[in-house]
Amino acid sequence: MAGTWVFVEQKDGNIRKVTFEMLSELKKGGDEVAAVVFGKGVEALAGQLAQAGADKVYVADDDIFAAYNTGAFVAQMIAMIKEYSPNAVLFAHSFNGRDMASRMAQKLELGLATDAIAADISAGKGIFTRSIYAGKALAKVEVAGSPVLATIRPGVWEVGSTAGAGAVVKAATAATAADVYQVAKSFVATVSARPDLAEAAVVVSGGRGCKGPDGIKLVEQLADMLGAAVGGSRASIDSGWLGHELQVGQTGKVVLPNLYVACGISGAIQHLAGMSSSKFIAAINTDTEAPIFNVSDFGVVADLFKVIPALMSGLK
Amino acid sequence: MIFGSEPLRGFYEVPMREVGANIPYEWLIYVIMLIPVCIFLWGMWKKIEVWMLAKGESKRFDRWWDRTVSLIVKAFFQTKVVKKPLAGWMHAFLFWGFLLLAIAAGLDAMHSMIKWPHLEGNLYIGMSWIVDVFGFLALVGVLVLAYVRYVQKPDRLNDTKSADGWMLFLIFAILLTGYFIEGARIAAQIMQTPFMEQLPYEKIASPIGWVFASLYTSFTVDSILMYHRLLWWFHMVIAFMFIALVPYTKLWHIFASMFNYFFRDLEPSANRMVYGIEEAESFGVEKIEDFGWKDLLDLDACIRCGRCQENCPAFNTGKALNPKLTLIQAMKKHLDDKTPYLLASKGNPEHDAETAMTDEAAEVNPMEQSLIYDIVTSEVIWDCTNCRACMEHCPMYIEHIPKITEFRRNLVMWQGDMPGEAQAAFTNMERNYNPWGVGWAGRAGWLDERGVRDIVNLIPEDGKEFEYLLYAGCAVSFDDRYKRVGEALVKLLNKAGVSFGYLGKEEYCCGDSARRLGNEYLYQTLANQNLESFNNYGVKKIIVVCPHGYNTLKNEYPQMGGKYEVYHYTEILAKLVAEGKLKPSKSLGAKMTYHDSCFLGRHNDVYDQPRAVLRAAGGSIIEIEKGRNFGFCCGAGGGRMWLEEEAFEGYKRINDTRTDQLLVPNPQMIVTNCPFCLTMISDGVKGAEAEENTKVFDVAEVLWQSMS
Repeated sequence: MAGTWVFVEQKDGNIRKVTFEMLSELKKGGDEVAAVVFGKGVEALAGQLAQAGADKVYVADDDIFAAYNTGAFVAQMIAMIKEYSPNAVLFAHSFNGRDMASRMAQKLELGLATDAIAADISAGKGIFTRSIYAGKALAKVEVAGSPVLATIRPGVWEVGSTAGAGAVVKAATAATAADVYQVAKSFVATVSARPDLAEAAVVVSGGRGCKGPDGIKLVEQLADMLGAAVGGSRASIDSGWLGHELQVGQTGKVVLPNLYVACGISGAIQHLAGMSSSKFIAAINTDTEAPIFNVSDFGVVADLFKVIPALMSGLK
Repeated sequence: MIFGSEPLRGFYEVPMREVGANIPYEWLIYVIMLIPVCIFLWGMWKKIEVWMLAKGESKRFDRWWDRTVSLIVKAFFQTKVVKKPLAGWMHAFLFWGFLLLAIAAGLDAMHSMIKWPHLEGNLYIGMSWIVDVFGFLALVGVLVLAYVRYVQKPDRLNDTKSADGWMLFLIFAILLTGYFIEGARIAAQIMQTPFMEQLPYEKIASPIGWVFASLYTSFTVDSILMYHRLLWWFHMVIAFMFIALVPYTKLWHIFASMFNYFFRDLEPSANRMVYGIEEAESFGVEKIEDFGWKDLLDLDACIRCGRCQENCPAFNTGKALNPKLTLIQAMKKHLDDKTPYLLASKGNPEHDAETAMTDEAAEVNPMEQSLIYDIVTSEVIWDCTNCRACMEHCPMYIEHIPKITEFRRNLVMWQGDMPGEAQAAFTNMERNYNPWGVGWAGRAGWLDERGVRDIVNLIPEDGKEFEYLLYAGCAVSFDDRYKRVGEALVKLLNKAGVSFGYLGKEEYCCGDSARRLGNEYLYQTLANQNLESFNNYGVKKIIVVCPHGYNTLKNEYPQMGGKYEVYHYTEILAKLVAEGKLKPSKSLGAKMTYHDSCFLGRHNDVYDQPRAVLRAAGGSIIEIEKGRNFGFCCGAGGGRMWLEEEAFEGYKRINDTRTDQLLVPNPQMIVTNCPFCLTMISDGVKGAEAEENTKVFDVAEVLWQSMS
């Protein structure tokens, strides 16, 4: 048995924060912590992984891993599990992590705990804490099997400072062209210098009360000052003031930042469904009756065109 | 005298009609007739063979009496067809004229062959008059229909094919030659009769024929007799052509419609039940032959009149769904393409692949086309708001929504392919029994929030006796805006002294959105939870707030054994107002437009009660063009409440389109009866920047305003 593995999530050649979070948290336990990284020319990442707590870094370096590929990645991981038999393999609860973990569980006929926020792993068994009923209760689930499989919610653990040895182990490429059944032709990214909406610690959102692109500009300026992501209610998205990918709510993104600033958003239930779990909610709205004030920790009944400039000059 | 023909005589002692006279070898016609009849029967058998390919079930052999009445009223009296005034009445004329002429021709033949029925004297005059006049109306009908199709060109006839014109021409030619023949006969009889006054009955019996007869005044008797003979044979040839063409052309709708009227869905508006879902090995419909035979019959019955698309909210906002073209006709074409392969491979499943591979002539192999991706497409499938406008206005009772639902069931439960937002709504309904995903334990929280806890009997805690169960639904429980409607309603019920109870957190989402988005499994789970609660507390009568819940509890829960007396709250309020138990203390005098929600209106025909309540409150309702059963959807039905809607170039979103219609009379209030409509229309009013002048309320709120 060889430790707990963390599958390294990458985005544009950089390691995502969730990977460091996972390495650091697991390092606190006694078991050996290993990072598993697939890609092309990724050996150089070992240093950063060690810094976050990886005792070992398994590297599978091959052209076939240049971009995320379900079939190839799953085949490679299964081969490596068979060779090194780790106690547990943990993934981020991200798009790719969920994709891989569920397939691994199916292929290896193992249990899988998803979206876990705490982990207690021992040989052949893992006890994970999951948030249920929209965060109203916590459930502890036990996953049996070898290895233990789970996906971890990003943002719940903190990146620590205890470094690991970071010994690099080069793994043979087991995935073949036959495993590749999907090819990503190209990626078209929406360019934004701001943090990703779903991961941001602070979100500033604009709604119908912004009245148009000018109001949204204010919201964006405030967001930039706070280093925050920009979001919007359905009204501002539908009006074309903000891009579709920035919608917060029932049919958009669900966000849980530390601070959510709602500007000119009345707080219809469709919007609340996407942000009411935020840690601290501040709201600016002219309507005293607006339902947003029912969920906000701090509310200002005033015109956002006056409040935001005042707030910005205060921040300066 | 020509061999084989009776001479045409000038007059008879009693008024009657000459049959077969002047036609040599007239008897031949009865032999020749066998040809088109055989072609017709062969074609009909081919159609039935296609229906028998259906693997799904259609249970339509109950209620024979109702079905017979439906057939007679809808087919022979054309009651559904004439709902579209001009084209409808013209079609009715054409149908009646053609039918009566065909019957009269048959009776005439019988009269001459077997001397029964005795078509003489006044019976002849009366029958002949009716047929002559209706035949003329049919002629007018054809011309007006051609005018509608080729001159007026309404958008609903946006797929005119050359065959449409040829069919009109054929019918026109049959009718016109008929009158020329009749005219020639009468003209010859007039010329041959020694006593003019012995023929005046023809002037009464055949007024139109009499007019045509006058066209022959300058002809000689011999030439009239020759024209009569030639036209008669020509008339018979094209009439036989008509008979032979029926099963192979759009004329088939004559019979397909009769089948459809007979086998139509007589149950209240409900989705089809999936029985034994735990054991099911596939879900929904993936291939055309997976449908039931009635669904395939529907495809035959579609005559492309386009009444469905005229009222479709998706089509009218530029979406991919057009109930005529991209749903029914697309499926029909696919079925036609696929039929030879299916028939060839019947009873030999392996044959499928072989036929598919060897047939290189076909550009696209229909066996390899996917019904839900290539033919109907998932855009079309998700565009539908289940508003029922297509089904309401289809003169053939084609069932569009159940087909859409079958496709969605396949996409959701089998392919696992659905919009991400639908997935989120499902998860919320699974975990918290409401689509917003608010914690289920707080379901009764609105009572305290709105300060009405003390006037509501919360059954699990108070446990008192109650007559009605108030099924509040998810919106009253969790939507801050709609909680006010719940508040108004319980205050009204309390004031009227209605004994009612509420289940609080033992009430669950009704499952409408889940079911209509294709997640039948989730729907049945939720429905079972509710049924357990209802039965646990001995519920008999239910008042439902949301029309979606109303439709589900009333029309769909019975499929799962839940049979209760279910009312929408507007029905109860109308009753209480009529009985004088609720007396408005002031008249609001507000100018208002009323939005008929699809699930209260078209799905359940509740149009008058909400209006009565509003009038009692002193509202002056301005009826808009798209009201009552022509009401335009708000865009949130069929689970679309939980999906994103794209606005297409040149179009507004459905809710904005609807709001514009409601804002036309510049009302002080727009009144709705549904939480989804309230949200959608409120959004629309805000978007139109009309919120200063126009407020959006629910019926219950308006009545409460007039009482307090």
